[in-house]
Amino acid sequence: MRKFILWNKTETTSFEFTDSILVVESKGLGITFKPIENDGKISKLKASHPTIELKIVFGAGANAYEDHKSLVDFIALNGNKQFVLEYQFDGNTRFVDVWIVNLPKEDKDTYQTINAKLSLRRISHWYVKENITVNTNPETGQISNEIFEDTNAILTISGATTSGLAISTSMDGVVYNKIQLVDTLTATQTLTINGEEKSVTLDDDGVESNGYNMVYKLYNTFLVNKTGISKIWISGGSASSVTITRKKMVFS
Amino acid sequence: MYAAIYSAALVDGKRQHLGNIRDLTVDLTERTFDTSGGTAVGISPITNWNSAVLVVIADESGFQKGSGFIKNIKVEDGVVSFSIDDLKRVLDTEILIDFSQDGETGHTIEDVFAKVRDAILSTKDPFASSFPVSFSIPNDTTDTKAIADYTGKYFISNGMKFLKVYLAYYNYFIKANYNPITDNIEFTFTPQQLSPEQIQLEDFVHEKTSGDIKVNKVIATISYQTELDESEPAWEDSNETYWNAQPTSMRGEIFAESLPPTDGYSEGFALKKTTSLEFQSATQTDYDNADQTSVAWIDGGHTTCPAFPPSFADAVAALGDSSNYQLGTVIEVHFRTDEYVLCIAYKMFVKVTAAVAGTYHKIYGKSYVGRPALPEKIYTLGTDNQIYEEYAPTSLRMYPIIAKIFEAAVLFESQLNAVYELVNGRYIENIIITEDDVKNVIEIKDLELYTMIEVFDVNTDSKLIPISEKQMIHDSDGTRFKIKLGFKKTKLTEIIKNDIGESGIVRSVSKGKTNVYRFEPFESDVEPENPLRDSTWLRPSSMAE
Repeated sequence: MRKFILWNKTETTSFEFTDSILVVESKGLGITFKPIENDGKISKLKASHPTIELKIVFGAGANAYEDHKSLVDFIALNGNKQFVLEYQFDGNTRFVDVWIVNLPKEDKDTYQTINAKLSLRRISHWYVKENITVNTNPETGQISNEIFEDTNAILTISGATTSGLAISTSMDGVVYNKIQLVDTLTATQTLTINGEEKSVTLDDDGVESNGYNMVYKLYNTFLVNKTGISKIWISGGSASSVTITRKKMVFS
Repeated sequence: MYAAIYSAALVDGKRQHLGNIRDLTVDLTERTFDTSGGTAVGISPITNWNSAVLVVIADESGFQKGSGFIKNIKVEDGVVSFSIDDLKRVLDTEILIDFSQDGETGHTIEDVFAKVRDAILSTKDPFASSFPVSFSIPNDTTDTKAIADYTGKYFISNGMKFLKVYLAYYNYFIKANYNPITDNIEFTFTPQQLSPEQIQLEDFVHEKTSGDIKVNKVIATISYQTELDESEPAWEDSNETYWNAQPTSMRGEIFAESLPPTDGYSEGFALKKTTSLEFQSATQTDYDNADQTSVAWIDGGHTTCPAFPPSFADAVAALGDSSNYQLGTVIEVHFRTDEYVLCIAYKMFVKVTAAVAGTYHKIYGKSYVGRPALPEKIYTLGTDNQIYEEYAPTSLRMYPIIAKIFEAAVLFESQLNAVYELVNGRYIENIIITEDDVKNVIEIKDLELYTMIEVFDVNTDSKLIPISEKQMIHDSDGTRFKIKLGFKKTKLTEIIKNDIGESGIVRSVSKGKTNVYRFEPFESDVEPENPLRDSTWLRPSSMAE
């Protein structure tokens, strides 16, 4: 039994397609590959995302217009922002970032229902949400990247930290990413290094400010993971906690 | 990729970071000698762009790929587009270069680069203190007097253009970047890589010879003002045609053995000199206009006044020797009766003139001091694209010889302009290479600017050309690199900008004062004689025609 749930951008509210609002057909859940050409020669493949189309029946055993309006209201509340589509199937859960591009409204049919095709423009791969705690060597964490592209992650460092706190990522024994802080964090401070949004935010007891200059520019600023399995660990100093929140991209 | 934007302000002693522009599409070109630049578009939550000054282009992990000044920012619906300007613009300014101070007259490469550095750092502009600038200059003691000797002199020049002469001649280029760790705009004088990289091109045939022939020989010399000497006007030989062409106020004739002193005569005055006089028939008008007149009569043979004037021959006979009269005199000749009555009704006019055969002269007050032999320096461009003091070896000479002469008040100024001309004429090639053009394994993205490349084509012919540009394009399809070999200008705007008026990179320090004349307007009924001097004369409306 599969299920679709539409979340707002901040994933604080959701709209579930169930009960009287049913997804009866779906398209565009797969993946396509686009060859990259240069002067007629293909140098590599780039993954491409088709538009998701969900055929929805509103008003199955309920008021179709009210059901349709409830979805429209939910979309409007999100504002001019993207959504997250959750897809549950066969015990698996996948997420994808989307923009709503089309939600038509037709008259009721003979069954007093409204049929509409919701079109969602995909802007990411399917992903699963993952949280990883980063520890000090030798208890290295592990990050796997199954797709053909480097992926970003959100690194959250909670104070207090000691001088020279650094987080390193390696593959096959070679360090390819290192993030080091310029200064220490106090116990009330949390530094969020968001590789997806390309922002660094310092939260000091609820007060947020730009923390970009707190990351040592001699090394990397954002955590980026190569294709394959990488090891990650605290390679210098210490912190109250270091966690990674990421969208682990998958092809299916 | 993303772009980190920095402000002009400091916060807690650190350069203020305004925010980042993510999902960046960027086209950035670095150039060896000309200014680098690019454009980019991305998404950003930044709302206040007023103080944005610096931009750092970074890959997804934050590793710097380029930096510059941010310009032309446009924001629409959260999408930001902007231009990236070269940090070397800091050097693209006029500076005073001083080799006249004691102990600061060294001419090594290191000294010359340091002079520019000191001039830039000594500027009093607030920008210099707001944005720390640092220079990394190699320890190179090669003497540069082959280009010019500035000992004891100072001059004003554009920093980048002045440096270009030395960078190209001695095979250096400048790397510029913003270092966010030290908050410095850093300029690194980087020597050209000595061992050339070899590139084999797939399915690519390059031009065997350069298509353009440019200046390949320059001569630098000192300008000379051929002086006018107006203090001693003199008589010089002239001719009758010139004498006849002058108005009566500007010509005269004398009866004398030698020419008179030149005092009082205007420039161009024509003079006919004769050593003998004669009589000529004249008219009443001649008599009326003459400065000197006289009356004479013929006696004898008439009891009453005849009803006709005396003949010319009779008048001449009566007047006697013409040398007894002054040149120009007009004489009125009458008959006189035996009763001594002057027959005034009829008269003959006779004029005393110089004999037709005379010599012609005119006043000439100008004389010129001829240009003496002055020092000159010759430079030539060889077929190996090297600049030679004097002449390139015969086997490397370019033909045909196209020369250009540069002169200036001081030799070093013309030398600098001359060498600059040759610098701009080197490596006139235009070969653009992408990774897909290359047959052998080489990462063109890792090649530095100005690296000498030995290019092999399908015929295994090769040519040695430096990298002049390196372009990085990043978009949704990934990151691609192109390199351009050679300095041939291909865009019309580049050709116009660089081929017209590019010489003259030194602006001499002014040696004399500038005179300013003020003409107050004045009103007069009389039109001034000198229209230039009195150009502010106002004609009263009453005189309007």
